[in-house]
Amino acid sequence: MALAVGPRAADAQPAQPPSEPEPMQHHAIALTGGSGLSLGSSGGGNSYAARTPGFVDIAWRTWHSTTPQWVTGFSLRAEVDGRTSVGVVPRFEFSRTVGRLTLRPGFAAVVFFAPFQLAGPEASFTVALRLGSVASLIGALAVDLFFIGNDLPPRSTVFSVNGALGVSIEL
Amino acid sequence: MSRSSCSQAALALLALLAAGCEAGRCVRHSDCASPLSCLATRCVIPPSDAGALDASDDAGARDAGDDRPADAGATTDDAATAPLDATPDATLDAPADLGSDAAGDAPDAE
Repeated sequence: MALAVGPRAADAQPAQPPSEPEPMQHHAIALTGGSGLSLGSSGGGNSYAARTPGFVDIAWRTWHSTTPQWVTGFSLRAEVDGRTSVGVVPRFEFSRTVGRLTLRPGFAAVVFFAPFQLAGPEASFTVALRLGSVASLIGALAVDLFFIGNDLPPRSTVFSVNGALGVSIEL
Repeated sequence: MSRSSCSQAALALLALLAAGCEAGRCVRHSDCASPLSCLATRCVIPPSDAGALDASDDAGARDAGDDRPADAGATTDDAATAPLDATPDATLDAPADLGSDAAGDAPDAE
């Protein structure tokens, strides 16, 4: 009997206008792959530019419909070019939609944890082109600075500029 | 943007992406083949494999700091030709030399 009271009580509340969607949490999954250019410098003044190992990102993003401009999420990142490594990339983005395009500047922390450790901040700019009701084509440009981890030579830092392309599916 | 400047930009991009193809150069340890590590942008034999005296040195000591100068380690090219036991012999000789010097100096000190 008590269970029947709940819906009736809800029905008694004033109904929201049908045009206003109910607030909800949105989620999206993206698969991207990328590479770029890495510049390594050591304390002795030596520097060298190399191609960034190709990587694959599986990203989860979430945002609330009341604040769609703030997007959080993380990626599982795997380097698959010449080595195999796994990392996580927690990120925070500002999202702005203009027509079919969604622009997302953001920042993240890249943490490779196996089989070596490598970490540093990342600034990114992602563009998503909506292809349908749920799918988007996404491209991203990211700048990384690695200065923590046992994959770095002593007293050296690695600066990377990477691009990535992929697809995103809103769940 | 004109067609020629666009072509130049594409060539510059290709040149940038082609960077890093030089053998034996690196920006990270994982850029090097398995037994080698990156030191001063070159793949070299890691100190632990080259006969370091510290017996406790292991793979986890990569980030412990390596003060060896850049030209102290063999590059990949040197690694293919230089005998690996050259450095261990040198390090093993060092204590003996020190000991003989110390023994030789002792009478002088008295």
